[in-house]
Parts: sequence; C-alpha cells; structure tokens
Amino acid sequence: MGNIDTDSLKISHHTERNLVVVGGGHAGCEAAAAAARMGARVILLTHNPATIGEMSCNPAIGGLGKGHLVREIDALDGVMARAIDRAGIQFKMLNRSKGPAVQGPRAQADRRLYRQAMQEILMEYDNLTLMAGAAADLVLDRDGHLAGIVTETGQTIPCRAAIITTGTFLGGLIHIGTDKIPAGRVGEAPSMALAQRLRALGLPMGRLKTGTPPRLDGKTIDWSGLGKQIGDIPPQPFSFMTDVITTPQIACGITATTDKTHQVIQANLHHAPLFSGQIEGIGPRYCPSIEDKIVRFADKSSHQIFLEPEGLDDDTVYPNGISTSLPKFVQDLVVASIPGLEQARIIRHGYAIEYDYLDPRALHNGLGLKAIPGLFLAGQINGTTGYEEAAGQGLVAGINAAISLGFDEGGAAEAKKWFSPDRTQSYLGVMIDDLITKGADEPYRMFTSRAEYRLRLRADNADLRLTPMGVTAGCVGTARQQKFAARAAEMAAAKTQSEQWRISPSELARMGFEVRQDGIMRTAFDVLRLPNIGLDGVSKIWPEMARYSEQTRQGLAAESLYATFLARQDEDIADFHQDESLALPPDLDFAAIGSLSTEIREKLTRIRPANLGAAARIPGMTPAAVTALLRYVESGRVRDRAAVPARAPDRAPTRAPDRAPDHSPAQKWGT
Amino acid sequence: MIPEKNVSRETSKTETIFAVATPPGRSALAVIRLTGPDVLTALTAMTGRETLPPRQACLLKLREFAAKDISSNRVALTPYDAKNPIIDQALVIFFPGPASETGEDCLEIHPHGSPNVIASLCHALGQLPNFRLAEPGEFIRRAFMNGKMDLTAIEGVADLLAADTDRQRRQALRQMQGGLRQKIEQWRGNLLRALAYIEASIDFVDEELPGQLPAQARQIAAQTQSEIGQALASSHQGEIVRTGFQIALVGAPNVGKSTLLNHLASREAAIVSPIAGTTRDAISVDLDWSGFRVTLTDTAGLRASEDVIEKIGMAKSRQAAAAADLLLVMVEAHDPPELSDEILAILAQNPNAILVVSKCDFLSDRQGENILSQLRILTKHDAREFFCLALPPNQPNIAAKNCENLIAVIVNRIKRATQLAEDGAVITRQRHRQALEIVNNALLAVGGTDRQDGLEITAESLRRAVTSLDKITGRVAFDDMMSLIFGEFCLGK
Repeated sequence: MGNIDTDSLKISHHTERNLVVVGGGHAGCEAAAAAARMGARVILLTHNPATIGEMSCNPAIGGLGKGHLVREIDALDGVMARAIDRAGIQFKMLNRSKGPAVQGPRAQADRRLYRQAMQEILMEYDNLTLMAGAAADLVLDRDGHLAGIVTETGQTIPCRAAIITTGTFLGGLIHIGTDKIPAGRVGEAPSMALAQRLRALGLPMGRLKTGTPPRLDGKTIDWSGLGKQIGDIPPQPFSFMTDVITTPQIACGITATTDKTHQVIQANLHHAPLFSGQIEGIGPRYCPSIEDKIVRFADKSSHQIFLEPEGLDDDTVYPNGISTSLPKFVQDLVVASIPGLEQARIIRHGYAIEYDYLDPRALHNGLGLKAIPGLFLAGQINGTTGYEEAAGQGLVAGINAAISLGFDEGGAAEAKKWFSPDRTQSYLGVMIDDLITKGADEPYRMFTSRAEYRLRLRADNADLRLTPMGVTAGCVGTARQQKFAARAAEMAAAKTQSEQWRISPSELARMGFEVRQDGIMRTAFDVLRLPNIGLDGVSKIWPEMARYSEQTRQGLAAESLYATFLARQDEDIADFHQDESLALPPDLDFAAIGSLSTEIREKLTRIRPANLGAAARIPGMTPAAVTALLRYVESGRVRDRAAVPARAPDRAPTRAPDRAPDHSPAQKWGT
Repeated sequence: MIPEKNVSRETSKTETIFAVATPPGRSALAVIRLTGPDVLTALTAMTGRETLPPRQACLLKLREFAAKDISSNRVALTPYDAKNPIIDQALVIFFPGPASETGEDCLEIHPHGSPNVIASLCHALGQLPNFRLAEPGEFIRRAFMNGKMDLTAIEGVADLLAADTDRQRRQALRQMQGGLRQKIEQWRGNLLRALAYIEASIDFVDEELPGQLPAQARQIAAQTQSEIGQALASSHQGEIVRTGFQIALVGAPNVGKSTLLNHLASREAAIVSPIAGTTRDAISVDLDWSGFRVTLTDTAGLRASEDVIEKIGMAKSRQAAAAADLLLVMVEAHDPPELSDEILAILAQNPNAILVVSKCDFLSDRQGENILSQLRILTKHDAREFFCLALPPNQPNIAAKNCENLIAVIVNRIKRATQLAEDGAVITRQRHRQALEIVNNALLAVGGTDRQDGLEITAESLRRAVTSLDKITGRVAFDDMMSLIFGEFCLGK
C-alpha cells in the first residue's frame, strides 16, 4: 500500500488504468485487494484511513453460510480469512455435531487486531494507493461510461472503473429514541452528496435499516454468576494458508433478559422509533432488535445474550442479542435489568441506522451497474447485511472492475464474460444470483438453506471448488497456487487410493465392524460413510490413511457421506446449466413476446435477466411465462439461422402447421 | 451522462386469434370465439359498435367490412357502413379481460351454423390486421400463460373434452376445478413446513429453538408420505376411469367368447361361427356400463395350433390378457370340465379372474353344481368367482337378463377397483404418478421420527420431494411436457 497521495500526481496519468474503490470497510478492503491482485492500479478512497477494516457492529466473523463465504473468499486469495486468523480470540466450528456440509466456522475478533491485520495485509500490495477523502460525485462520459470520481473537496480522480462500497454511510441516519443524527457510524459523517447524486441519476434506490446494541464496560460487569462459553481446542483457522492460530483465546459470558427487562421495554414502546413510524427502512427479520423480539414473540419470557469481549486488552463488551434504538434512559434500565449487568456502565448506547441502498436487480452478475458501465457496487449498498456478504461482493466486484479495464488473464473482457461463479459452484454465486434476480426486500443475509446444492458447497472444499477458477481469472497469488496444487494432488490421490482399497464383509466382521454379510467387497471410500465405521474405523483398517493430512481425510469423509446425493444432483446441475446457457439478448424486447402478462413483462424489462435460468428464478415468474420466453428465444434462433444466406430462403415457417384433427384426444378415442 | 431510459416501446404485438368452436358441418348455430387485445376492433368493423355491455348476449347484424381491390390484389379495409351487405344476424357476447376465460378480452359470436356464413365470417376476421386463425390448443395456452389455469386443470379440460361417460366427466371436472391441485398444494404446504423446521435447526443453531423441531418435521414427512403412498396405491384407479376398464375374454376356441361379446355389445361386432378358431384377431368394443367406460376385448381361442395366422392371433390374446384389468375366462359346461394347461395357468396367475361357464342352458341344476365343484377343485381357488352363463338363442329375453346379471357382477368389480377415484383427488395420469413416486421415495428416505440421518440429508430429501410436487402443477418445471399437453387440444379448445 502506497502513501497517502494527496496531490494526485501519479493519479492524473494513465487514467485509463485507474481503478477507484470508495469505502474502506469489508467490501472495500476485499475489492481493493482483489483488483490489485489482478494487476490494476487501485486507489482506495476512504474518510479516515485509520478505520480501514473496522468492525462497525459485532466483533465476529463467520457463522453458518457466512463462514462458507469467508472460506470461498480465501479460496480466491482474498484477505478476510487471513485477517481473522490473526485477530481471532475465540474460534468455534458451528454445527460440529451435524454433517460437514452445514458446519460453518465462526470466530470472535479483537477489533483492534483485526483492523491492524487488515491494514498490514493491504500494505503488502504495491499497486494499491490509499487516499483520505469522501466521494461526492461521479463523472460520466458522453457514452454514459464512468470517467471519474469527484471528492467532497472538489478534486476529480479520473478512472474508467470504480467500486462503491459505502456501507451504512450512504444517506446514513442514526436513530436513538426520538433523536435523529445524520451519520455513517457514530461520530462519522454520512455520504449525503453521493446519495443525492445516485438518486438524481434515476437509479432505483430504497432505504434499509440495521441496528447495534449498547457497548458495555467489561470492568463493571459481574462475571461471577454468568455462564461461560469457550471456543474449540485447538482453534481451526479460516484460511487454507494459515497452519496454526497463535493469538491467545478467551471465553464469552452468557446471560439472558428477565421479566423485568420485558416490562421495561413494554412500558416504553411508545418511545421506540421502530414502532412510531420514525424509521422507514426495512430491517432484517433474522437480526431483530430486542424491542422487536419482545413484541413479536410475546410468549417468550427470556432471550439469550452473549457477552463478547471486543479485544484482549480492550474492556469493551458487545452484548450480542440486545440491539436496540430505544431512548438512552430506557437502554440504561434494560441493561440494569439483566443478571450480571446490574452495575454495568454503558460506554456507547445502541442505535438503529437507516441508509440508502440500490435495488441490486440493476446489476449484472459481475456486480456492475447495467446502466453505467465501469461502475461497480458491493456490500450494504446492494441490500445485504453482514461483513462476510460485503467482503464476498467486494471480491467479485474487484475482480470484475479490473477485468473491465482489461486486467484479466482468461480474456474474459473480450468474451464479455464476468467472473461470477454460479449457484452450483459457490455461496458467492448463490448470493449474487439471489441479489440480481430477486432483489432485496430486507437486508440479505446468507444461510446455508439458500444454497440448493448445499451438500457440495462445503467449507472444507471451498478451495477445490474455486481456487482453479481464481487462478484462471488471475486473482490468485503464486504462494497460494503452489500450496493449492499440493493440496489438490493429495486429495485426488487419497480419493483414488480409497477406491482401490477393498475389504470383504467377513473381514470387516473379524475386525469387529457389523455389516451385512452379503459377500460384496467394499471399497474404503464406501465403508467410510457407514456410521459404525467412519474415519476412525477406516484408519484402523488401513493404517496407511495416516499418510494423508487431517484436512484431506475429513474432505474424503464428506465426499463419501454425500456421494449418492451428489451423483443425483449432477442431473439437476446439468438441467441448471442448460437453462443458464440459454442467453437472453440484452436488448430483448419483452413487449414483443405474446401472452406475457403486463406485470411479468414489466418485471423482465426492469430486471433484464441474462439467461433463461435467471428469468425462471425471478419471483412471480410463472412457468407459462418462462415457456413463452423459451419459445421466443428458440424461434429467434430459427430466424437468425434463416438469415444466413447459405441457407435455403424458404425455410419452414416458425409456426407449426395446424394439426390433423385425429391428434385430438376426442378423435383418438372415437365416440 | 446517463442515457435516457428507453421505456416507450409499449408496442404489444400479441395477436388476436379466432376459431370456430363448434364441429364442422351444417347446424342450427355455430360459435366463433375470439381472444386478444383487438377483439373490439372486430366488433366495430362488423357492427359499428365500440363495445358491448360485459357478459351480455346482444343480437346484432354483422356486416361485411373488407373488400378486395382487384387492381392491386390487396385487401382494403372499409370502415363500418350500415349500407354494407349483412353476413348474418347473431348473438354476440363480450367478455372483457382479465376476468375472462383466457385472461384477455374475448368475444363470442353465435352465427347460424351455415358453412357459408362461418366461412365468410372467418375470411373477414382474417383480413383484420394482427388477426389470425388460432392454432390447436391456443385458447387454453393463453389461459395458462395468463395464469388462469395450472397444468392439472388443463389436463382436466382435455379429459373433459374427451370424456365419453359420466364417471370420466365427473373425474375430469374435479381435476379441472383443482381437486388434484388442492391435494398437492396441501402436501406441498406440509412438506415446506417440515423443510422449514429442519432448515431452522441447521441455520439457527446458536438460537434458542425448540429441540423437537427435527422430530416434528420427520413426523410431518411420514404423515404426508403415507397419504401420498395411499394415493399412489390407488393411482391406477383414476387412470382406469380416464382410459377405460380393460376386460379380456379368454378361453379355448369355440367356447362362446364371441357370442358373449356380441350379446354384451348388443351388436354383431365379432364374427360368430361354430368353426373353432374363427376369431383370429383381438376384437375390442367400447361400452358404457353405469357410467364407466369399459373396453371389452374378444381374443382368439387358445389351443395347440400350427396355423401361422392363428398362432399370431393367440399371441395377441395372451398380450390382451396380460394388459387387462379384468379377465373373463370362459370354459364350456362339460362334465368332466376340459381345461387346457394354459387356461389353468392363466387362472392360477389371475386369482381375480371371473370364470364364466358357458352353455349352461342345457344343464340341470344338479349337473351344474357337479361341474362347478369339479372346476373348484381343478382351479384350486376357493374364492374364485364363478358365473354360469346361459344364452339360449331362441329366448332373447332370458339371454338379455343373464347378460345384465353378468354386467352387474363386472360393474361391481369396477366399482370396487375405482372406489378411491370417486372420492376427491386422484392421480389420473402417468406423469402425475411418476412425479409422486419420486416424492414418495424421497419421503421414504426421510424416514420416521427415529431416523438418525444428518439433518442436511433429510433436508435434501424434502427439497427433492417439493420440487417433484411442483412438477405436477407446473409451478417451477417446464419442459417438453408443455408441448405434449398443448398438443392434446383440438382447434378452438
């Protein structure tokens, strides 16, 4: 990372090659790093370079679905996993008792260490320059292509590609009780000018809401009577590049709301901006404020709260579970009503924040705006919530912004193909496809249940799924390429070997394993999935298993467990790809397709799905409408072929001739 | 700056289509139906009226409005003129969309059923810009496209059009009105709930969720599976009603199979002669018995023969016997009974076959009892249903009465075989059964509440079940089945 470049000497030259990232949050960091890995000259424009990598809300990375995203980001040589591996102070594999497909890594972070780690990692990129400032306007050329970013001080940074990652700053408005404070985070100015500019461009914008709990002084918490939660021993790293976690590990406290808490909140609901109509934005159902939980689940007498320390040498505690925008005096009463927190001092009160977002259906699958070539968006501006969702989009937008400038090894720019792993390959693909086809009615958060091919999209095989794609695109550094090559080779060797080792049922019985005595020889790969044998049993039968790493053995066990389901899914995936390959021309006139209802016609015209599969996933699409699209596109192909002069001019008409009457069922059956 | 949004291309090119809905030929009245955005253009051109009160029959004079310009060989549209020649005076009804059958504006014209009037009207309509004759099934396709019907309802319409008997019609109506869909929606709702319980237990592990959610989900799945399993078990019944109950007459040559067929069909469908082996081909007649469609097939008599043609006929007999829903095995009333090994084998394989003892008119009661008890021993089946048949040629009333008795026995069998089809949702098509079988297998994999499979594997099976259900109503899936379905419709619905 270069020095802060205020006189923009270097910037003014070779403007065609400049790539500007607006915002230094999780999306911005990942976008800047990805674009830099692709070879672009990146300028990271942010209000305050010291807050790069800030965790604005909860001090944790990962979770279910989210942890999968972090592994995928890492597989594409992204930065988030490596940062959390340095900053994590409690690692936990969620759903450890369930199958490998639904296990998600999560870690508590030391907020300061995380910022530090992120800034250090970005520093390693020579072609990444940092610039303090805020974006206020866009410059577009005569063709409507992005030509520059204008800062609030009036300086123009010429560039042909930019990624906007403004998070909650875009038109940000904080609510605490009846107080309304324009801000991006507490004490930080929002991006009002940019918000106005995007609205003025006629882009489809909306308001969303999120919230954060009060922060407590850990020294004033009575930890003695509280439950404790510790992490996994040993902690398992996020990054495929990290061998071992060296940061000291800590425990979290557990407490819960009481009857008194609920009474206090009930009595003060009239002060809640959430219910008074003061907040217009829609919040996430799955991340409700405490007042929302108490109203919606009135029969529940207590809600769990995790007390998460924000750092090793930081006394701030994040009480996970009591996000609120109630007035400060009510927050004081709420905290005091909770066991262990009776005397706790609030360092900063909780709040709700409303911000502008852009309907992500205006984006293509490379996360660029269809209406403004060169302009890419990532993170909360696209209607998502969460660090991991933001980082994942930042990564994809960063790669594609670089591709749009010609920085690509696979010739993707010429083929007009964005780097965009699909739904069958990744959670990244699930997220992007959901956003661009369904939009975001509420802040979008990743869940494993959003992935229909969940059994193959596992955290354990993220690198096997995506690193080769990343290598082709050019976003994977040499260190990872080498490490990955060895890992992939070992995995392949283990798979081959496990299919060669064979054992008879009688031999298994002799070794103490109960199996059906059907005389059928079974391979190591097949017995691996038997619950009474598993990895331990297989290692006992074939001690040579020990030559493979734990990672390889676990990966093999997962492949074996799901083998029959994966084979069956292959058919579905073939269908999926067939629909995906039926491209809808970008200038398709939906009005010309007969029999589409007005509502569906408007939807299609607004969203402009790239292919038939994407069209079918748009909510409200009827199978009939999809069929009409299919017929239209196919008849269009017939016309195109007819247009080739070499073909006979008098081709068969596209409309089928009238059927002979004896094809009708009534005639067939006779009367 | 940003290019202006190009949204002004609201040039809807949906064509207006028309078709004669009544059969060709001369009749008192005919019906011509029109659907599409421009039906009122046709109204104005023919009658001068801008519009009509919705859903009210109006008696109007229809006038010619198009004339061919001979010099340019082009059709010139002339505006409505009260002096133009009248084609016909007819009832005209306007059904404004979207509350119409196709969801579009519709117009019905009820002209006199003269081929010349109909041809003139169709010719005139065809001259209007953006008008054309409908393709087969196109009206219903538009209804489907506009979300007015789902796939099962469309299949119901196809069946209704093809229905020959009361039972077929009732079943088709039920399906058209959504009987099957309601059942499937109910199953789908249940399974989605089960899936939601499982997914919640996976994705919200650090929340305080009731611990019994997975068990509840498995219970719902098991309950739904048992319902679907039952529907599948009865699925053949709907198909029987829809396609007809297949009855095959088998037996040795010259035991009276063709005679019986002719009696039952009340006409000379099969050639009857005393020469053994007269029937060489399988002959079928379609009958309507108590509202059931029945296909009765007479087959070549089974015996050892070297005659090439007769051997082919016998092969067909065996095929017909294998495909039948009910076998009538005929033997002659001989004392002792003469049953070939093949007939005995057929009886052994078909415990439900009815053994019809023919030519009983020459027997005394005691002789008859004697023969029957011998047959019981020979066929080694106590529950076998016997029917002693007498068709005295010179006493047609007695013969007819005996036939009615036999028909009553058979109809009872059909009723028992289609009992489930009478009450509510029923699977009437192979396509439905295949999809439900996938659902059933997926749910069987979910298993009962005691199963210890991983939740993610249970979820996978539930998902598969829901996707398969959606294929029946056409909510998600689309493929060649669309063209199959739409191909089943004749012109103008």
